[in-house]
Amino acid sequence: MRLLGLSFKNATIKWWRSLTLGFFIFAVSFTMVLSGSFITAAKSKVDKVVTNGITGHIQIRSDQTIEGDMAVQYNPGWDALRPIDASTVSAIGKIVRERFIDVRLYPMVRRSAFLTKGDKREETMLLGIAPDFESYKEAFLLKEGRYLEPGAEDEILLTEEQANTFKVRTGDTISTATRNIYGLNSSVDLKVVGIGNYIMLSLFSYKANYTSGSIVGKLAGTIEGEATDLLLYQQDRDMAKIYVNELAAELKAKGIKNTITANEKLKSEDLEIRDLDLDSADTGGVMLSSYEEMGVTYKGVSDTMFVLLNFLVAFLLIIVSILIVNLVYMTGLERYREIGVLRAIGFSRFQVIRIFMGEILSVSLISGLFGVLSATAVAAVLGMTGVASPIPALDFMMGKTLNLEIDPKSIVINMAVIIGFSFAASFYPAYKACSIDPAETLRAV
Amino acid sequence: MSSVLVKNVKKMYSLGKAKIQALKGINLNIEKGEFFVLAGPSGSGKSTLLNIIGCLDYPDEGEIRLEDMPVSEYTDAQLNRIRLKHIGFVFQSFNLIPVLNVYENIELPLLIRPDISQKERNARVQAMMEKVGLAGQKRQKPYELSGGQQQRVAIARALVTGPKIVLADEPTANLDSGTGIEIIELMHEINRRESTTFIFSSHDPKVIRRASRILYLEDGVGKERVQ
Repeated sequence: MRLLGLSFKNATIKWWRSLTLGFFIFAVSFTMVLSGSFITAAKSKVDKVVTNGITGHIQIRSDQTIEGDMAVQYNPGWDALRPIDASTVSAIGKIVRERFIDVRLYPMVRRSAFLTKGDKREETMLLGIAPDFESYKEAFLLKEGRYLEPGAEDEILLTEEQANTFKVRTGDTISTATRNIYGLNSSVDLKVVGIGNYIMLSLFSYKANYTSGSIVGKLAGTIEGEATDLLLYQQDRDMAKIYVNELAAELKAKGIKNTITANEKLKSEDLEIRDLDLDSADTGGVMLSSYEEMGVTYKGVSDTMFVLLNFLVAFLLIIVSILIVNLVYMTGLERYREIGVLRAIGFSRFQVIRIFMGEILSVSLISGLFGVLSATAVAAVLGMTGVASPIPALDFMMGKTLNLEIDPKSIVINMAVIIGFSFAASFYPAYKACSIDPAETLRAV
Repeated sequence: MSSVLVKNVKKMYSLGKAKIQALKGINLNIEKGEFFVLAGPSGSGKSTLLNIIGCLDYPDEGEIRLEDMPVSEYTDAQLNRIRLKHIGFVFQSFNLIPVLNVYENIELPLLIRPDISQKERNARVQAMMEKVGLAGQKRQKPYELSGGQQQRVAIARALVTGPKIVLADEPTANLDSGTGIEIIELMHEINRRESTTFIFSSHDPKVIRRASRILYLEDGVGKERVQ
């Protein structure tokens, strides 16, 4: 038997006390891991929504486009979005097909526009997608109607807010108007085939409308084959940063000028709008951005949620710490005599402290581990089955279901936090209890 | 050879606002292997002197030497080591650790002796249990033992480290007459066989009768008598 064995025996004798402490520590660690999984999933969902629906894992835009975080700045102004010319689009497509075979490329034509119906008018951004672009469906949750028919040129999806503003339903038409690259007004009537919301982004009244890339191109006056954005998707999203550098090198090798926005740290206010010289032979270059630079504002919201959660957890940990302090203090009072005897036998003050703290730490370790493992198991199950949105009306916050995600690093951190708090809370009262003069304790014996 | 040398030891302690002079200049020389008793009424300073000899407390004035070591000058850590290696304690209330069984209670002081291997620890504990007649109660907890048996465990615990001095503070006070005699006989036997110095604090005639020498304490002052 070692000193730890003595601590453990002491902890089991006063089992009700250990159980009370163990329950609280279990509750805290369970909450920490499960809510952490929820937040991780929510953050991941925001990432996926932004990347699947709007930016791709890598986004290529014209280096004449004036735009920072396009996922946030959804209405950058008439002349801010410049097309990449068709030959460059084609060349990039060829490079991607030949050199990056696990990467899928989708051209997108974006244009600032107005939606109009009757006397109502509202700004928006048209997201003109390729016929084979499907991942937008993971970002846009339908409430009514259907998604766009691939290749259809007269369809549009509205957000619920827009539908309510214009008092339209699926089957109705709505006008979209813009000023094209030649400075001329152009408009077209489109049929509303679906009404829904952007998951998570609707919280920010994100207003953008999926429609066909072909019709947006016609509205904008671009040539067929031009695109304002090339969205690249790969198997492993986390490899985006590496791919960006490799792709940049390949493009440069093929004579396509390019910049990597992360390296340049471009900000919208640093850029100037230059007149589009339609006659110039200089086709300009492109800028490459990885998904991590996009949707930072939205990610900031989930980061804020994470901070708030941590405040709640910190509050719970403080309560647990107070419980531990009281427990150790009470134990010290009850075992006053035992402390004196141990000191008389020859135990040093710190050896006796170790015995006391060992009782608390053994309970903390066992119940903390149990809490962490239980929460991990629950999170794993909910990761497979998904958590249904508790209120159907709030699907736009997390989708119809949210699949929890486990972050292994956070499990280790949570255990370390539990043990750290237990250690800190138990040390001082144990030290005080064991610092009593042994002669004094034995005088009372 | 002197086992314990006490020179002009004085001790005062506070009880609330009152200050009590517990020892007023005690002089004492206890030889190795003696069966020595500190006698006197309650409050005479017996336990205080025992605590000072046992390195649990420091004298305010004077000097203590144990086995020729000037312990009154030692630090807390040094005194810990002295208690661990050279001194054993037996208490009036036994003071066994309730969560540990007989074997574990006896083993307790050896757990913090890194110089003793597990094998030797085992052997010593077994030998002690046999010496005090408790080999058959190895796994029993203190609450399952009689008062006499508990005190035997306490004696075994005090002796398992092979101390040169055993201090016993009223070891028979909580025992019936017959059991008290058994306990004293056991300690006397060990004292004779192994020349371990025993120092008692007691006013039990059974203990006093067996003492080689007695120091009577009254109001912090000692008067020695040889039996």
